[in-house]
This record gives sequence, C-alpha cells and structure tokens, in this order.
Amino acid sequence: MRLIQRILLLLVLGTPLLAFGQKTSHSIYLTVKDKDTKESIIMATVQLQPTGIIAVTDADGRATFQNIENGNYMLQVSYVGYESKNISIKLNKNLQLTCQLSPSTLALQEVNIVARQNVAGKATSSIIGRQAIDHLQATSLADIMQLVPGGVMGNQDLTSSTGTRLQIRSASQNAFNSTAAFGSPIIVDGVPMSNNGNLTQGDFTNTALTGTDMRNISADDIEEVEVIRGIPSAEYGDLTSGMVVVHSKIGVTPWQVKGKVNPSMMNYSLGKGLRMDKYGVLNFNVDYAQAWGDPRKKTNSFDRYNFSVGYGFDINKKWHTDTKIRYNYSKTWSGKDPDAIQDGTEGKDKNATFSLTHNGKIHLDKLFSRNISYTIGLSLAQSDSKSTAFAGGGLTPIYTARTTGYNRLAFVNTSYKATGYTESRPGNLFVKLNNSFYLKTAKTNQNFKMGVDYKYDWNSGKGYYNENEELPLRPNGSSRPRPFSDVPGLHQVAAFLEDNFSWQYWGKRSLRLQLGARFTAMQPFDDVRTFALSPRVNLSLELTDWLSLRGGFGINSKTPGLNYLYPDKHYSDYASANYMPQDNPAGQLYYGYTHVYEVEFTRDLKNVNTTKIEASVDIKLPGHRKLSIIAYQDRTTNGFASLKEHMTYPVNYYNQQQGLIITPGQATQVDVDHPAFTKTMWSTTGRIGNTDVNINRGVEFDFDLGKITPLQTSVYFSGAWQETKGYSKALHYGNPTPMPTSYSSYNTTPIKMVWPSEGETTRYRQFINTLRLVTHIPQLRMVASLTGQVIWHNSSKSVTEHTRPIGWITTDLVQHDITDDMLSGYIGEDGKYYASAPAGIASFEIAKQTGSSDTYTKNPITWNISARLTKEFGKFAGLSFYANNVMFYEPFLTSSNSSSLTQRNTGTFSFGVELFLNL
Amino acid sequence: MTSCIDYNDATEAISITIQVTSPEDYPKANVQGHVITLSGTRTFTATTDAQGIARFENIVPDVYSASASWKVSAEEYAETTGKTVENKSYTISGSLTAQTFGTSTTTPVAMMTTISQDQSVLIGKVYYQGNKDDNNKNYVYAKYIELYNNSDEEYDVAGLYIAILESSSPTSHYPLQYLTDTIVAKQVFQIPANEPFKVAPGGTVLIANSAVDHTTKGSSNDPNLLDADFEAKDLNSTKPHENNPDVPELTQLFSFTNITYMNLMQGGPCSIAIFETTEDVTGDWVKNNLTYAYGTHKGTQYMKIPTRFIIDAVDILKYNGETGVDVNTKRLFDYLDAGYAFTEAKSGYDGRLVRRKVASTTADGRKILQDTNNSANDFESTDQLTPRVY
Repeated sequence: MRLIQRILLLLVLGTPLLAFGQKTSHSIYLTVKDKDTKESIIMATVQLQPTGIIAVTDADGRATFQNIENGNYMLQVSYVGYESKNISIKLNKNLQLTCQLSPSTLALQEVNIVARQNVAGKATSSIIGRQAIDHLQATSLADIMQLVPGGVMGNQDLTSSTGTRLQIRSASQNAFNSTAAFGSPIIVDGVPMSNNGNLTQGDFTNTALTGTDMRNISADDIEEVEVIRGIPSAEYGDLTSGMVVVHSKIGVTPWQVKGKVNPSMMNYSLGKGLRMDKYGVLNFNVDYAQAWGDPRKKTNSFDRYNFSVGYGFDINKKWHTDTKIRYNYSKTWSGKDPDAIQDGTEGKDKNATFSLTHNGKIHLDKLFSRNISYTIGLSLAQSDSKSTAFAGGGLTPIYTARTTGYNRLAFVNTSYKATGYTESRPGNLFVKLNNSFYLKTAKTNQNFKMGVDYKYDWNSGKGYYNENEELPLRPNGSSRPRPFSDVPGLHQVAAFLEDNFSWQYWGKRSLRLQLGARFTAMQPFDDVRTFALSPRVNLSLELTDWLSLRGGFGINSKTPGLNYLYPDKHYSDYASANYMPQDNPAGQLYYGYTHVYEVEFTRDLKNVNTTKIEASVDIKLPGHRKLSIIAYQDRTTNGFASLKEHMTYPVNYYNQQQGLIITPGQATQVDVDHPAFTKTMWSTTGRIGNTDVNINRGVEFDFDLGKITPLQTSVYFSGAWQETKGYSKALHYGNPTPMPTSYSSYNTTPIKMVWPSEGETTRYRQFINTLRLVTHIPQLRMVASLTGQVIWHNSSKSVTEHTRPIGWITTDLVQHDITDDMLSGYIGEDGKYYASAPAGIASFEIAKQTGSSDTYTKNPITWNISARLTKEFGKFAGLSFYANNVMFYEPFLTSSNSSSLTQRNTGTFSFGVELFLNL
Repeated sequence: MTSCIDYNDATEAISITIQVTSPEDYPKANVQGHVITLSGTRTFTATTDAQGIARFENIVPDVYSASASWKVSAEEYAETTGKTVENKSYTISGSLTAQTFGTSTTTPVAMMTTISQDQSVLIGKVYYQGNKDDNNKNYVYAKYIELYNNSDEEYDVAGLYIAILESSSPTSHYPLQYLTDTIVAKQVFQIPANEPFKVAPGGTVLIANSAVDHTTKGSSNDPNLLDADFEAKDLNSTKPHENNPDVPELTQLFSFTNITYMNLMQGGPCSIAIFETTEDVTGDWVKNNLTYAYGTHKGTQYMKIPTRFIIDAVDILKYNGETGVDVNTKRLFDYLDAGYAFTEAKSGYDGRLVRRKVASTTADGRKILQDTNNSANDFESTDQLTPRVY
C-alpha cells in the first residue's frame, strides 16, 4: 500500500520537479557507422531510453537529441540487417558519440532464432526477428505464429484458408471466430489491416467475419513481428484479445534473392534497399509464391504476388518520413483434377489490395512535445470470387422474391450449370496523430503518449450476383443478391493517453507502470453509434536481483464491422403448393411463399469488450537461465452472435383437395382465399446481438535454459496450458417434444420452450510443450535447431443442461413463465397450461421438456519433431533446410469417445530448402 | 545363431473345425448334413457330421466368415416341438463374422444358430445409395424400397409398417448390447390400412420417395418410378422431392426430425425392418416408446420397436473404405439378420442397390428369393436399378 502511495505521489509531483532539472540539460550527438566498412548508416533508429524519444540518422549517419536533462540513459540503435546495439551514457555535458553496428550474420556470437520476450513494464509479447523468420523458412505470417508459446508446429498449406486466421491465446483455432479472430488485427507499419469493411451474403454466420487472411502477408518483406498477447498499449484499439504488429524493411540492404521450395509450394523474392543519400532510401521487394497443397492432387492452387516500394526521406533535419506502397494480388483456385471429366466446375477467388502507409516523425524536442508522429494509411481492395457449379438437380423451385408474399415460381427439373460472383470492394482510411514527451527526475521517468486516430471503412462492391438470375447458383438459399455499396461506411474516432512511468528504487531496482486509456466512438453521427472506454495498466516490479513480478489489466474494445451493423434482409421461403402431375405438364404448379424481414440496422449493438488480466513471474537463474511464467485470463462477455428473437406469421397451403383449381391440359389456378389449411410459422429475425461469452485462460511459460557451452547449444523450453470456453447469454429456445407430425411435417411448432441461458457450453483445452535445441557454430556460420513438441492434452467438451424449462412462448410471441408448481402439468397445442393432460388436443408434458448431454472428446497424445539448419557462405549466400515431423509420425489412434482409428499428425510431414544470395 | 531365429516364415496350410449347435428355442435340431460356407479371400465349403462338426482341411490362414442355414418344414417343426403351427416353414441359420484363423484348431469353433419363421413378404431391394445425374451431380431423388411376396399365396400388405433404423454415427448410435427385444427406428411408415393391397405370389410393392420418371429429370441412369405403388410425400423442403399426386401416400407414423420422406442414407447405414401388429402403435404408444440416443438425454428421439412385431429385416451397414464394414455397428440382433449387406461406396452416389438373390425359380417362372435370415448370404450389391426385376 505504501508503495502505491509513493507512486501516486511521484505521479503528482513529477511535473513540478522537472522545472529544476530543465536548467541542466545537454545534447547528444550520435554518429552511426558500419563496423566493417566504416560507412555512415542512414535512417538508423535511435531511441533514448527510458524517455522513449526517437531520432533517425541522416545521410551522414548523425542523430541528435537536444534539451536532455542530465542523468543516466540508454541509447538503443537499430537498423535493418544489423545487430541492435545498446549504449549506456551518463549525461552531464554535451556528448559526441559514435556507434558501430555489425551486420547480423551467423558469424556473430549472438543469434536469435526463437521468439524473444518484450521488456518488462509493457504488453506481454513475443518478438520474432528476421533471423528467426529465415530459419523457420516462413512464407507468410501464418507460419511465424508457431514460434509463440502454445503455437502448434506444422506447415501452413497456402491453398487452404483454415488456420490462416489470427487468434491469440485460444485453445481452438477454429472456434469463436466471429469474435476472437475478427478482433485480432494485424498492424503493418502502423496501419491496421482493417476487416471492418468485409461484407457477406445472407444471415449471420460464425465464419463470415474471420479476421485477416495471414497468407497474404509475405514473410520476406518483414523485418520484425511482434505478437502482443498481453495488454496492449492504449495507442492500439479495435481489437479483442491480442494483435500482431509487423514492421517491414526500410533501410539500405544489398540485393537479396531468395528462393524456397517444398513439396507443396515455391516462393521467390527479390529485394533491395537503395541509398540515395540526400534523397533518402528506396526499398523494394518483389515476391511470388505458388502453392498447390497436396502434390498428389491437382485440385487446388494458390498464387500470390507481392510488390512493395518503400521510401524513407528526411524532409528536414527534424522531420523524417517512411512511405510504403504495397500491391498484393493473390488468387486461389479449386476445381477438377486434370484427370477427371472436365465439366467446368471450379471456384476462383481473387484478391487485389493496394495499400499506402505513410509514417512521419517530427523531432521537436520541446518540453511537452518531444516527438510528433503521424500515420496515414489507405487501403483499397478488390476481392472477387467466382464459383461455377451444377445447381439444382431434381425439382428445383427458383425463389427470387424480394418482398413478402405468394408467388408462382419458375422451376427446373434437372441440374444446370450456374455461375455466381461475389464482388467486394472494401476500402479503409486510417489517420493517426501522436504526441509524445517525457518528464524526468533523478529517480523517475514518465513518458507520455497522447493522440487521436480516425478510421473509415467502406465497401463499394456489387455484392453477390449470378451470371443468370433466372438460373441462380444457389436457387433455394435463404439469401438474395445484395449490393454491398448500399451499406453505409463506418467511421471510428478514438483518442488515447498513456503514461509510461518508471521509478528506480532501492538502488538499481525499478518499478515500471504503463497506464493508459482509450476512448472510441463508432458512427458518432448516426443512430447506431457506440462509445467505449478502454483503460489499460501494465505493472512490473523488480523485487530482488533475480525475481520480478508483472501484472496487467486492460479492456480491449472491438467495434462491430459493417456486416454485423448492417445485416442483410432475412428471407424465409415455403412451398405453399407443390402440384406436379406427371401426366399433365401444363398443370404443374409451384406456388411459393416468401417472408421477408427487414432486419433493422442493429441499433443496440455494443462494442465487444474483452477484459484481460494477467500476472507473471520472471526468475533469473544462474548461468543466464531465465524462466517466466504467465497466467492470463481474457474474458469477452458480449461477443457477436445471432439474437434468438422470434417472429411468427401465417402461411397458407393449397392442395388438390382444396385451393387448387385443376383443369387437365391447362395451367392450375390457385384459389388464394380458400387454402386447404394455414400454419403459423416461426422464424428468427436475423438480428445480431452481444450475447456470446468467450473466456480464454491459461498459463504460458518460457524457460531459457541457457547455453551448454561445450556443445555450443542453447536450450529453450516453452509451453502453454490453454482453455477456451464459450457459451451464450441468451435464453435458449427449442421445440417441445414429442412433436405431433401435423406440426413437424410442416416444420413448425405450436409453442417454443424456453430454457435458461448458459445451459450450453463448449470448452476446449490444450497443453503443449515445445523444446528447442539450437546449436550455433559461429566459426562455421551455421545454426541448427531441433524442435520437439508434445501435445499432451487436447480435448473438447460440450455440455447441454436443459434441466428445467422456465417458460414457453406462444405464437403471439408472449412468454409465459413456468413456476415450480406447474412442473407436473402440460402445455396444450393451444398454448395454454393444463394441470393434467387435456383431452382432444395435443399437449406437451412439462416434466419431459428437459434434456442434457455431455460430450467429451479427448484426443490422444501426439508429438512432432522438426529439424532445421541454416548455413551462410560468407556474406554472399546462405542455405536453409528443414524437415517437419522428421520421424514421419502419423499414427492411427483413437480418441476417448470413439473406437474408430483416426490418423493423427497428417499433413505435418514436409521438408524444404531455401537459398538466398546477397549481391 | 540359427537356433535363435526361425527362418521358416512360409505360410502353412491349416485345418479347422466348426460345430453348429441347435438354436436355444429349438434344441433338438438335426445338425447333420448341412453345408457350412467359409469365406475369406477364398471360399470353402464342408458338410457337418452327426455332431454338427464340419472339417476344413488345407485352408490358407486368413480372416474368415462362416455361415450355414437350412430349412425346417412345418411338419418337422411340429414333430420336434410338439407345437401346432400355421402352415409355414422355418429357417435355422447361424454365422461367425470376421474370425481370424491363423493356426489349426483342435477343439471345434462353436457356431450358434437361431430359428425363424419363413416369411411370405420380404424386403426385396433397398436403393439407398443415390446416384450421379447426367451432369455428374449427386442425385438422391430416385431412392426406393421394394417388398416381395416370396410365398405361393396372395398377401395383403395393407397396414404393414416399414421402419428405417437409426443411422447416426458410431459415436452416437444405439449399440445393440444395450437393447433387449427392441430395435431403434428413426422413421416408421405405414402402407395405408384403409383398403386392401393384395400382392400376388412373386409380386412386388414399390415404395418411392419420388414416383416420377427419373430418366427425364436429368438422371438417365436412374429408374422410371412412375408406376410406384406408394410414395412418401415431401411436405416441407424448400427444395422438395418431386411428388406424383397420382401415387397414394405412404403414411408417416413417426419421424426423428421433420423429414417426411424416407430418410434413406446414401453411404449407409440404412437398415430396414418391416413389421405387422394388431396392437395400436399410434398416438400415445409412440410417445411411450421414444428414446434418446444411447447415453444422452437430449436431442433426437427415436422409436423403439419390439422385435416380436418384425416380419423381415435387413441390416445395411456403412462401408468405410479400407477398413471395410464395422460389425460393431450392427443394428439388428442375429435372430433378425445374422449378417449384413452393404455396397462398396464410402459416401454413396454410386448408383448401386442391395437386392435379394434368387434362390430358385418355380415351374411357372415365379422366382423364389433367398431367405436364410442372413443378409450376407441373401443379398447382393448390383447396379441393376430397374424396379420389380430380380
């Protein structure tokens, strides 16, 4: 408690204390050079810690910090392709310093081919650098994710979209995508790749909005990836559980040609960073990847072209800019095997994205404005999919009605080839402005960041349409064509403020606190507006030389995308008359009823809030060993899901006995006002609400066991126990049983039973251990790694407990409660309660409207060993080789609730080679 | 060294003996002189001696199934049991499924048998696999069940029930060991009882989901079912089966979902039973005989049918590719069907059906179908989809 009081005191008093420090301030002049060539390095990043102030070196390799108070500092110098360097300085006069950076090669003592942990006091994250990406032979961001604790080793099949969606700290990569993956943004050079503008056809589905496809992010243009699993800085928003920050290459690099091949894909890239002295630095990268999945089949393909041009330029001594233009084109194809009959059925997806990121840093060195940085991002995408397939088959009525009512429908009797298109044109504009400054005393330092950002997402696509609307691809689906351009754009404004506070106490020990808040307003000028406040705290405390504690709390907020805010109309179709006399073709009639529900733009939809809590212990052990254990819980209590709201309406049925006027040889007429019978139908309204609850919790550990010097081998042991649990907060509705055939035959019910919420839960658990042995021989410029992973536990459990119905709703949508004394009674088909079974009408025994099920599936223990080797030939070339699942362990094993043998680990066996040349 | 390792890895021929035993409820059966068929990669036969023992000499070690069946006439049955019976014959049958014989046996392997009354109306064909239409698209509308009058008398099928047995996956089905004297159906239909429907000896009852000429619907390999006797009507699909208003409706008594047509699963399992009873099995009887899948108290409800009602049944199981058919998924007790039938298509749509084999043809050309109470013997898989032909 006293400690907290002291912190608060310092926070309050920190500012006035500074007024004195000001007078004794000096400047730092730093020159950055290449250690070998002694040439100056342009556009190296120099960060002055703990102030967080950034300067970028000019054409002469010089960076300047002015008006810096006397004291102890650390200069962090980094540059693409070079080892970062930290320089401790004591400032009590103007300093002239020179820093020499070494190109990062395997000849150096240090290599980093595993994920590194972020510094204390900030978000828990894993940083994966260029060497690790090279050693992994990653082709896309999806591959890189396996270095994160709990990440499952494997090969990403580029032709398949499964597993390409980013989810952080989830025990199941495919569950709860509608919230978890949708809210895991990827931030490339400061600009979030937005998925808010994605739109789909038809009703809510769990798979409609599944986040960003990581396959489109080429690995070769990446300098560093930071996977934020913990509580992110307040400058980031519009997310649920975590995020990935990608820094692409900007800086002078040699010509680099890379080629990698494995049995399911090939990938080539060419990159260069060109020094143009006072005109800055120009980078470009061309990347082509082709994948075909399983080499035995030729039914899938994936092609990706990436082209990027980056330009680093100093407008003046204080104003540095990085601009990057990217073009990504990818296409996937699936179709018939070349040996099969070619009937033209195929699926084609094309995605072309043009994006621009512009980052500017203005080095003002004013007291309350040390750095001003701004980001402008623009992304325009064309996402087209074309699908050709045989539709129909048998009697196929073609529902095209766009309004409620009865219609005589066209129908076909044979299958036909049809082509459908989806044309999506999502666009995104992002602007961010950030001001940072610091306040420093002898023992404390406070870095302040404050800023605003604005995001605008829209979609001007044509949506879904058919080549021939008379013969549609999905003739009886419940959706109709809808132009995406009808959907309004989405504005989002946010402001954030963050204080990074550090305090040296008891000598060298430090306390670090990151305290921030973010305020987001979505559609502020519209009646669907929402607001969200996201406070975030990260705290770290060094207790002893070897023990420090960390903890954090934060709320992340994700706005609903356009698809959830502006859902499509809800269509329900019924066959009111289906009269198909075989000897009287002229009399054949298909009379359909379509009920259209204009789903209101979802007014009450809130931002999804994920509350994150984590606590961790870092222990330093003798011999440079380090252990960190992190316990976390991410709790989302208002995830997006379809609202189970019902509506009812009557549907008339006509048959030969009544309602149809049949004249042989002539068209059958419908006596509209005299149906044979009328049924009351139920349907959900299609509205979307915040009813999904999703809880991720677990323990991650990272154990750096240090180096076995005689073997030149470092040992890393990491793992995670993860649990993902989900349920719905909404009441559960269902039909009573047993249903008389007079209702079930027409797909309806006289009443709906209501059970309490939270009666249906799904839970996934996973426990993974990964051991990495990294042997690095600098003399040979070689690094080899052997990774063994065991999935000790992988299970899923789904439980339904409808122990007692709490009520029923009648066709007038009124809910009637079931009290305890009614449990032995009956509900008649008239919707009324009866103490004993009523005579003459069907009834449902309340006591029997219960049900429970408990399905638990535990998969057997599986393991996987992979081996990788990277060797450099001087500075000019290098070779990497990998083999995944080297033991070819693909056993047939049963799971806990089935006696059938299933092959495990399939698709993990793979090998590949990468060659790179530096010219 | 040579003493440690037996280099003689040549396969040696083995001899095995199988002994048939009398059915429990017919203990004095004559077990002599019956042929036991042993089928593995190759098929062998041997005849039983007075103890019911058959010897198979010089056979290759393999996984074998064995079966035997013989007829017991009404007179013989009356003489042995002392019971007066209707003028109907009986069949004794037994089988051993998937037994591994690796070495010669000294004691005979016992083959239990059961006795059942020979039925006049039988399940003749089940077309459950579906097909590919002329555009190579899956076509599932021409499925049908056919009944056959195997007796020499006219038979009235009015009021006959047809049950399609529960067909969920192995993890959630109702295993036979938890059932006694009942089987579990997902759908029960009835041939309308209001007027007689007499079937001549050798005559058939064709029951379709869509009684139309499927050759004109773009599936030219499928049959013309215009002359079907009954049709299960599709009342609620938005993409329905094409129903023929001129074909009488097959009444639905019970369905596990709101599917009103016959839910014949392409790819199987698709076990079928036909039954008759004078008891009223409608209304509350259905309510009182519902059950959830084994081990659950929620979800789909099925109807339990007492086996004493059953006239004929065929166990059609799912073919799983390399691993064949999983015998543990049998839906019928041995006394209802001692074997199982299947077609070799994992997921269906191969345009094949299972059909009862012809046992003999009478002088007037009437075909007598094989009825040994073991569908492994009695049924064959064929691509002859034409109805009413055997």
